[in-house]
Amino acid sequence: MRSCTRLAKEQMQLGKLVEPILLVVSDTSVDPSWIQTALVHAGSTVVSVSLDFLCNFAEGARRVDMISKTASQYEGGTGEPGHAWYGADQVAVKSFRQHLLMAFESYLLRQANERQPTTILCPGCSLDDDRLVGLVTWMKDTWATVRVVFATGGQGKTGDPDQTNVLGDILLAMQNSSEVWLTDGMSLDEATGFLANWLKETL
Amino acid sequence: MQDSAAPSRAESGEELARLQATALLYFEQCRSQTARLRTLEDALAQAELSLEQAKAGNELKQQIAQIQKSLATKDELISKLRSALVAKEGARFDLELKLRSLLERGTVAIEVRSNTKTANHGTEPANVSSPQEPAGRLSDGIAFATGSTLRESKCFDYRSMLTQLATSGKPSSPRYPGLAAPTKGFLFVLTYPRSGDLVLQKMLNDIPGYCIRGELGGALEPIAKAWGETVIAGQRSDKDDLEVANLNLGWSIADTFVTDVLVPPPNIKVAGFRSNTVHADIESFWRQAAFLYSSFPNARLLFNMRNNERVARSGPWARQPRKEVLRKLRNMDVFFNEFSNAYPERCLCIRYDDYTSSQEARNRIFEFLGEAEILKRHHDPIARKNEGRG
Repeated sequence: MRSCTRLAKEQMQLGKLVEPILLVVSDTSVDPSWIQTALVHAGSTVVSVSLDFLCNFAEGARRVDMISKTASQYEGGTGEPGHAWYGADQVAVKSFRQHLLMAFESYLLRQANERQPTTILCPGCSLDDDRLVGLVTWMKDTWATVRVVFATGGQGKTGDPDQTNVLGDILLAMQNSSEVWLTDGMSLDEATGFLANWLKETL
Repeated sequence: MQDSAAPSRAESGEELARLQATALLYFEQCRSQTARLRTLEDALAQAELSLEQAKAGNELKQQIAQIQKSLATKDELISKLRSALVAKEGARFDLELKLRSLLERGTVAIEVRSNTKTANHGTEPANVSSPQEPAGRLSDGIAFATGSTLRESKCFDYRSMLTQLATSGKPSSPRYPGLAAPTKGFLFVLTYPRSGDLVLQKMLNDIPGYCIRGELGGALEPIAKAWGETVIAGQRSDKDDLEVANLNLGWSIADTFVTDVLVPPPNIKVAGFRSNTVHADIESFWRQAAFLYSSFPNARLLFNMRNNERVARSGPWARQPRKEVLRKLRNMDVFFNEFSNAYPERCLCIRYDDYTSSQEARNRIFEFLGEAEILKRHHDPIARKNEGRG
C-alpha cells in the first residue's frame, strides 16, 4: 500500500484526483517501443504524450503565480479599472493550478480503465531538460497520487541514474516519493517483472 | 714627327680613360634607371591588381545587395502565399460549412461518424452524450477526410475547430459555471504595448456590467499552445472522439481561467482581459486568438492598433532598433487584420488614432459590442475628456 499524504487525503475528501497515476519520463537513449511494451506487459494502461504538451501546462500554472507576484508589487493599482494589472489581486493561484491539472487529467485519462494503473508515457525526453524540474514540482505539488518514473538507457542492471545537475534537482523536488529509475539494460522480462511488482507495491 | 706623336698617345690614353669612366657612369645610371623602371612596373601591376580586386569587391557587394533584395522579396511572397493559403482554406471551410448544413438537412447521403463508444468512455459519458453538449452535434456530423490538407496543415486545424464550434452549440452551464457567469459573453482586447490599450480598457470598463481585466492573459499563452497541439496532432490514442475531447479541454481550461484568474464580480454582463503580447509568428498568434474565440462562449475579439511610427517612438520600443520594431508592429497589424477578416461577426480591428478623435469610430465599437444605446444614453466618455481639455 502506498502511503497517503496530507494532500492526497484532502483531495480524496474532495473526491478529486484520487486515481493512481504514473508518469514515466523516458530518456532519448531508451527505445520507445521497449518502454511501452514493458509498461503494457506490466499491466498498465499507457497514454503517450509529448514533453512539450506537459510542460506547457506547467508553464501556464507558473505564469499565473508570476503574474500574481508581479502585480502585487504595484501598490494599490490593481483595484483601478484602467490599471495595467487590474484584477490581479483577485487571482486564486492555488485553485487555478489545481483546476488546470484536473482539466488536463480529464482530457488525457478519460479512456483509462479504472481498475488498472494508468501511465502517462513521455518518450524521447532529454533528462537534462531544465523544464523537467518545474513539471515534476507542479505535478507533485498538485497531484497527490502521481508517481514519477525516469527511464534511462545504458546504465546496466542496477538502474542507477546519471548524476547530472538537472537530475539532482529533480531528485530534490521528488523528496521522499517512491520513484524508480528504469533502464533498458534490463531484459524485457526483467523490466516487466520489476515494474509489475513496483506498481503493485506503489499503487 | 715622333715628338708630336708621343703626347698625342698620352692624350689618347687619358681620353680613353675619361671615356671609360663616362661609359661606366652611364652604365651605372642605366642600371639604376632600369631598376627604377622595374619598381614602377611592379607598382603599376600592383595598382592594376588592386583595381581589379576593387571592381570584384564592388560586384560582390552588388551581388549581396541583389541577394538580400531577393530574400526580402521571397519573404514577402511567402507571407502573401500564406495569406492566400489562409484565404483559400477559409473558402474551403465556408464551402464545407454550407455542405454540412445541406447534409444536416438530409438532402445528400452522408457518412456518419462512428462515435458510439463515446458514451462508454472515461469518466464523463453522461455529459458527453447529452444533447446540449457538443458531442451530440459532432457525432452526427460528417467526418473530415483522413490525410486531407486540412488535417495536415497547422493554422487550418484551428479553423477546423472554429468551424466545428460554429455548429456545435455552447458548453452547458452546470458543468462550466464560470463560462456561463457573464450574461453577454466575453470580450478580449488583443494589442501591443504603447498602443493606448489602457485608455481602451478604461473606456470599456466604464460600460455598466463590463469587467475587462489587465494583463492576466499571459498565463493562457502556454496553455493555448498545449491546446493547439491537441488540435493539430491529438494527444490521445482514441482518435474517434478526439474533437469532442478537444472542445471539452478548451472549455474546461477557459472555465478554470474565468473562475480562478478573471474572477468577475457577480451579475456581470461581459468579462475579459487585455493582452499586449507581441507574437513573433502568425501561428503563435492564431493559436491564442483561436483558443479565445472558440473556448469562451460568445467571445468577441477587439484588435487595437495604433500608428506604428508613434508606437515605435514610445516607451521601451524607443530603445530597440527602429526597423525591427516597425517590422514587429506591422506583423501584428497583419495578424489582426487576417483574423478579423476571417471572423468578422465577432472580431473588430480598431485604431487608437481613430476612436480617440472620431465619434463615428467610437460608435462603431459600441455597435460591435451591442451597446450603441449605452453610448446614446450616457455622454461619450472620450468626447467628455476631449471637451475638458479644450
